Amino acid sequence: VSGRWLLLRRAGALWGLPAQAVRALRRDSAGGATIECCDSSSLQADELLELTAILRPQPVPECVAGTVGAGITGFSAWGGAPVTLLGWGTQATGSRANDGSTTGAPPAGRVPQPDGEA
Amino acid sequence: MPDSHGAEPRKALLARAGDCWCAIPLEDLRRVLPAVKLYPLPGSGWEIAGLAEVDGEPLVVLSLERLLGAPAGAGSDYPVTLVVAAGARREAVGLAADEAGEIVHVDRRSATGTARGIVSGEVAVGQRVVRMVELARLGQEP
Repeated sequence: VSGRWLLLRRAGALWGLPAQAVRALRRDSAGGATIECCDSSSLQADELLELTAILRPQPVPECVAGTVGAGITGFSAWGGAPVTLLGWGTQATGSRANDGSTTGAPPAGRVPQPDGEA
Repeated sequence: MPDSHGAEPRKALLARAGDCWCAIPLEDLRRVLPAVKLYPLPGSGWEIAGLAEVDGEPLVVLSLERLLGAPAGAGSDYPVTLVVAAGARREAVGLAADEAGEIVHVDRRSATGTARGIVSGEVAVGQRVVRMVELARLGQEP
């Protein structure tokens, strides 16, 4: 994972999306935005923060790879807070949800929503 | 350095999660921190307490209570975070715990019970029954 990242805030957490995955941005009246991705999926953000290339992404630790949400490809930190990095075109495997059930992988090439929805 | 799978006594930090005490081998322990601010990691497994930032680096933090299958304690604000080396690759992860206790010698030869998850057995330490933790099993356990 390298290159530039679009940093956004949603539900109290920071998320990073590869800039090349973004096709368009639509601001909404509440200060948030809708991010349209190149594969026609979209993401909702409470706030757009920055476009940056200095995230120093780290891969998901192998020992927790089976438990993190599908589509999450790594982590980083920015401004004193952790950042969850979403993949692009990643064939993520299923992961266990908080209720202990198993969630399926998002459709190939789709970027999952930060709230876990595809 | 002792072999994590060997039988000789080794030093371990006692940690409490909920109503359960466990022994974290010192060879796997990197840091003991006061509570770190946890950010949500939606869509993740129930073992994951959240994501933190420690000294400019991200840290996945797991609930020690959930990993141990321990009965829930009174609170769930995780006043202690143990940074440990876990998994086959000894990657840094955090364990959210309720209390860090003393350092003891744990003799695996006296262990009872069956291995499950990251717990390899139980030993008596003083008046307590303590679950022995094998962090190399994280991510590999059945």
